[in-house]
Amino acid sequence: MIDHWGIRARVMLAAVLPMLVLAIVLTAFYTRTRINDHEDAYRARGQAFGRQLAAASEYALFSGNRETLQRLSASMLAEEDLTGVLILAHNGEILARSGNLDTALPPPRGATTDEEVLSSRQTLRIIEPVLPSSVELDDGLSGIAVGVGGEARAPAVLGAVVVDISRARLDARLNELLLTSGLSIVLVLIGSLVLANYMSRSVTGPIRQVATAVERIGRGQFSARVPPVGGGTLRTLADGVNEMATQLASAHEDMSRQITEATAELRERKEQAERATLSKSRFLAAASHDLRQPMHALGLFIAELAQHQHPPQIRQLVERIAASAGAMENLLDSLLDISRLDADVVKPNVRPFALQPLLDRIAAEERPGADARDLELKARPTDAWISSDPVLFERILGNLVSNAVRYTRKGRVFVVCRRRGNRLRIEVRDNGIGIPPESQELIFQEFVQLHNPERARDKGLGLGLPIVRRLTNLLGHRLTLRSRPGKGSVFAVEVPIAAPMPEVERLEDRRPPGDLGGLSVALVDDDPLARTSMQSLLSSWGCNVIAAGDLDALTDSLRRERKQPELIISDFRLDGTRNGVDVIRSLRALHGSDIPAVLVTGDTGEDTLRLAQQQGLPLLHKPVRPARLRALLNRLPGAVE
Amino acid sequence: MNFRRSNPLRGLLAVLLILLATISQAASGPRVVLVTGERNAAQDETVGAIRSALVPELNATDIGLVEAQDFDGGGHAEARIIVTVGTQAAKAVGARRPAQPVLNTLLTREFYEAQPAPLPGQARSAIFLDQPPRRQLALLNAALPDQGTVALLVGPNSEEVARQFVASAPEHKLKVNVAQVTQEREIFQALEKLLRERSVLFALPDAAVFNTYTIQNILLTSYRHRTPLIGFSPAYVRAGALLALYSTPAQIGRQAAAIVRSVLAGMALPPPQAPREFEVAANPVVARSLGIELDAPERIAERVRERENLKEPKP
Repeated sequence: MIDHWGIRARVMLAAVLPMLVLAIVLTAFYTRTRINDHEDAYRARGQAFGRQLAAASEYALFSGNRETLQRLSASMLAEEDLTGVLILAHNGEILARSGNLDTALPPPRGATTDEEVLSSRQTLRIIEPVLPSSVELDDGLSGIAVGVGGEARAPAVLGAVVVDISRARLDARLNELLLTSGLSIVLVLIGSLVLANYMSRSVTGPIRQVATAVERIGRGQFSARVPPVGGGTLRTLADGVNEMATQLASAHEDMSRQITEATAELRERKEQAERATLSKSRFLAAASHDLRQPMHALGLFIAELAQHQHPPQIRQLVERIAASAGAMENLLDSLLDISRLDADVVKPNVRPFALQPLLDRIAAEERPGADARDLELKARPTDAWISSDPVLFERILGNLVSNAVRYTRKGRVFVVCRRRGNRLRIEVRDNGIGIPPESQELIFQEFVQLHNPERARDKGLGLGLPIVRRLTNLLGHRLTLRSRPGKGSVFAVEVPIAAPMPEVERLEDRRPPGDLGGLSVALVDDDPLARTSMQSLLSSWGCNVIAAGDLDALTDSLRRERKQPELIISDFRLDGTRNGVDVIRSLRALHGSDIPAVLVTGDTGEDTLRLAQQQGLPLLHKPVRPARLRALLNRLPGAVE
Repeated sequence: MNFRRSNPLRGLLAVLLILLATISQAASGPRVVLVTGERNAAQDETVGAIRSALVPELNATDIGLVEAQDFDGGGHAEARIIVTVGTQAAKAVGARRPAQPVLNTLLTREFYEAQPAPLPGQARSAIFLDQPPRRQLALLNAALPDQGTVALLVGPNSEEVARQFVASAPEHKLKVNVAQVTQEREIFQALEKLLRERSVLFALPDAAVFNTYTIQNILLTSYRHRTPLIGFSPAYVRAGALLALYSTPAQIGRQAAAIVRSVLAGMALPPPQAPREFEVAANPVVARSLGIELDAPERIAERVRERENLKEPKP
């Protein structure tokens, strides 16, 4: 218990305990002595009374004088505290009686030669034998003095006197004594408590000051100091604490300075890094926009060119130009994708969708490549719905399949879906060359192509898998690779399974790819090259295109030709104050709000994306590949009649 | 005096004994053996008196001194007489039954008569402490001639003495009232009865009645009755008796020395006898308290002696 006591309580205990013990011992000793003294005095007084009465009644007992005895006992009763007097003959006969004898004590039994003292709660009883006083008769002629033989004889007892003394006064005095003792102990206790309190203050005061200072230092106030108090150990303690505080303060200061310096340096580095990133982003943005415009136009021109009748030699040339342009577009797309993903501007739009149409599209896209390599490409049919961003997920799976097709010389590529609890595991299997374990992490880095040291363009750019890795990370899908050299590879993506939404599915399914012939398309693009190429492409698909550089020119043309646009395609960034979104909004206001519209842009900026998403407009990045545009137009509602 | 405990004296005595043996060759041991019991002033005084009375005729070596517990019957073959001093010595020597004549001194008649009887042919005699009743009555006559009545408190051991008092009373023209008590508790009643008549109370040497515990109350009672008490030793006078007639150890010693001398002279041991010489002591304070005019004790003693010599001339 005492282990948990504070200094003050300990000091109090140390100060109070000895004093209290001493007080109790001394008082007890003193009281006991006094009580014994009182008892002895009382007893002595009673014995004195008894002896006095015995001496006085000797002759009356000798002479059997009852009157004298009665008078003696009565006069004895006049003494203070005496309650009863009894005078007995040698045979126990009561010769005189005065006052009341205590009945609690046994009645006196005749006369004895010994003095007796009896005691009850109220009474002290003295029984004093009455012996004849002796007179010295032996003067040497002992034969005469003591008779025959001269041996000493015991005196014949004349009787006995019994004196009862009330203890009331003694008890009162004893009670008073005990009360005084108790009071003195209490006074000593209070006094010692006060003293101990005072003493403990003087002891704990300096320690408290030290404790307070230590506490303040603990809170971080290094300026706190213990005032110089006391001497000896206290002084050492105070000096130690002050020294500690000084050391702590200087250490703290050093550390703060270092942290500040480090922070400043870090901030500087961060700013450098941010500046670098910003420069890179700006460069990419500029590059993408400025590269895309000509690429876009080039692609469209080539597409249009390919649709014309050419002699075989020219056609071959056109095809080569188309392939080169396609590779370049792919390269640009991939670079832009990577840069967008790294810039963290891609916001996934996760929703449930059916997987099978997506698989069909990928299969359709990759089949030409597979057929060219004589590969067997199969996607096992599935009715599963998954929860993901359909565009991004199509990109993931497309990349994986095209990768598999590219790196499999002979054999097959399978796409298999398996349920794993509430997730769907989509595997892309091939029996290609496989990937050694030490390279399985390497292939997810940019521009790494294990089996393409010659960097043949038909084997891609080495950006497919890095994009897949970034997209799965972005979507939170688990991507795994199982592969051994020569035994093929299995890339697997696990996505959450979603509940089917039949009506949406039906709506989309109802829309087969159709003829665009006669479709009235309003096209706005401020870049004449891009506008011309797009117009040529759309026209080659059979569309009636009304193209203009800005909204006013377009509305004039529409009014002049009295045409109602059935599809709006607008560049996002236009000259002047309006952008593509404004154009689409205005046209819809004029000709009906349900007109399908597509935004085309060379920007990769986040703002553009966000605006398009807010308006629910599909967005195509330049250079727009004709196939992609065609696919989009096919899917647009109302595009097919 | 005490040569047994004094080495120089003992050496001197040995030299003397050798001288005596070579010169006279008449005797080889003491002719008188003194046996003492408890050593006290009275006995020493008695022994001293006997010695000093005998010395002019006897050599110091003729008087042997033996303590009672050291006495054996055969050790003193040459002794002509053995003198005992005190009751213990009388008892010890009586038990040894020596062949020599034995004279007991410093003992009461009561004690002497309680001793076993001597063997036939063995001589034994005594000088008692007890004063003869006749002498006591004479004392009364001499001291208080007005008093005519004697009161006696008689216990079991003093009936004989009382009889002698009663027998001697008429010749002193005195009347004797006797009260018999058997134990101390009866003393007061007996005294009350006895002292109703104006009289003089005589203390008798009977420890059953007169002892250190009873004497005060007896004196008080007699004082209340204004009756004087006559004791038999100086201690009684000190305790409050009016008069006492007694013999001193020296007087008894001298009487014993006379008997020794006669025995050494070839005469037979006389019969037991009372002390011959005596003294009287008086307490003038008591006398004044009782309103009694007393002569000087010496004159009273003288008158008693005169009356004794008148009636019974010294042999």
